[in-house]
Amino acid sequence: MLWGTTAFGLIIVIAVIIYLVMPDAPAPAPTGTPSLPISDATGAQNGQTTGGTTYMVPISSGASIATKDFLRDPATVSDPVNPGYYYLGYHQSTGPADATAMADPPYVIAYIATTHYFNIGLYQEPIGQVRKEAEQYLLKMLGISQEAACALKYMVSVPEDVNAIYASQNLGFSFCPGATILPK
Amino acid sequence: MLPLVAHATAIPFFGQIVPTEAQTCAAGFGAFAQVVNNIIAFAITIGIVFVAPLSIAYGGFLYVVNPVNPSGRAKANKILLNTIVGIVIALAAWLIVDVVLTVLTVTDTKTEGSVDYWSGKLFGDGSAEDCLLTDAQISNEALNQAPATGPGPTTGSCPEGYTQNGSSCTSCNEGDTECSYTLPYGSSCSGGGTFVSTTGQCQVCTEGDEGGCTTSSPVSTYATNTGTYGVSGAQCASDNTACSVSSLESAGYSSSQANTMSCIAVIESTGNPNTLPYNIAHPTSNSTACGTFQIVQTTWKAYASGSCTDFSNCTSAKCNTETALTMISKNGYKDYTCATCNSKAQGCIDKYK
Repeated sequence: MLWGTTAFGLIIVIAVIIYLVMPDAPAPAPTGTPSLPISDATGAQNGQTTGGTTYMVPISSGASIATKDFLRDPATVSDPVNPGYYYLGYHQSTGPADATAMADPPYVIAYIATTHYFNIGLYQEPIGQVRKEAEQYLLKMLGISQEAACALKYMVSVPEDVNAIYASQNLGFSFCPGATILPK
Repeated sequence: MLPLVAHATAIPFFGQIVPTEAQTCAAGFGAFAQVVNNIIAFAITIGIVFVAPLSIAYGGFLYVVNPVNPSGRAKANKILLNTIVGIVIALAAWLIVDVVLTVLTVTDTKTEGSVDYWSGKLFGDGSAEDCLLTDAQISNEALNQAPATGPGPTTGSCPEGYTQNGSSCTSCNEGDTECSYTLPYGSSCSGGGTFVSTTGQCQVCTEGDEGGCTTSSPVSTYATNTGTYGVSGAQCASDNTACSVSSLESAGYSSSQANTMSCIAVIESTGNPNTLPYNIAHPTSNSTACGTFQIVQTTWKAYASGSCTDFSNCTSAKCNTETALTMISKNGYKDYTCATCNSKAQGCIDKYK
């Protein structure tokens, strides 16, 4: 009995050790509307990167938040019409087809590099669900916490033709203090 | 946080196999162990509650229908014996798991070097996470990555001597066998305690306290942007160069025009110039509204000039700004206040005129 118990314990210990030293599983991708590709960015250094994979995003307080180098992510496209504008994931495009361009995107996350500002537009109902999807995508793309996201320079809003009630407001991220609670 | 399988799951078990806590994240060891526990408990439950009674009933049935047939009685004997042995083995296996896991995870505070040493080493405070740690919580040491050598943050929040490394602060010196870690970037242990980089939590341990260490999540030190959420009449943020008040004023708008149109841009396009003509996304519509201020093609043709004349420029922030200024200068805001145009534009005009 003692030997059996000891052997069984050893098997558990070995299994646990193997499990602990295994590499981490990737985080789940955003769900709901068609999921967008997010790669592990491995870009070279530039004026705002550290270590080649990190991008420093200044926030309103004057400090900076370290994010993944999302500008080098294949799912990020620059706006050929508006220099310095980037779209993280979904966007509209009349130019060459790319993986994340679509005629009627559920949301658009624009990043204006000159001012380090994120503009998130919700373009489909239900806007509560679409906002969550946009948030999850942005958090994953930047690799930051919800607390850090709340400190970004950003705005979340919905056009009047999508939802006349919640238009004309900065809705905020759902997890940030003071954000507008939207119907699910 | 889920206690680390200190006891096997109670039997009979008819609960959900996958814990609720682990259904929204990548499962960690705690969830994995709980799932294994639940599967074992469920299998034993099925065996004892359903299979075993049916087998015993069938054995009894064979006895009844074979009162004098030796082979039939032998078969019934074999079924009953196998059923009882199966129950004993299944319960014994469960009992062994319960005993082993209890022994391995119970804290032994009296004997130094007892089994608690390695279990504590593996699982910290004797518990395991339901979810895998996020990048922000996992130190580079745990990821087997090389120490960070890049420059620190442009405006530092890491303590002196520490280098920002992702969302953590790292201190590595030549010759060190391992790096030192401090709080995640932008967090603090404001409630006291020591930051544990492997768990991403603040930990307070009291000597002699049988309750063990208490843990809490670091508190964010980021200044949250608040105060403008949900306020009707919102304008484009000051950093949105497509439609902020300052951007429009720089383009020649009066203060009143800039404030009003910045508000209208939020309602029309969320301040995003990259909105193609509406009927591209909605083919059943005749509307060609496009760009930051959602100017339709006929209106664009009437007021756009220079390099912006062609409607293909309708997603240009610069052309939108110029064309809209010409439009409102000559025509006021009536393109936005017509009966079926925009129910909220009048609010912007009233608020900022």
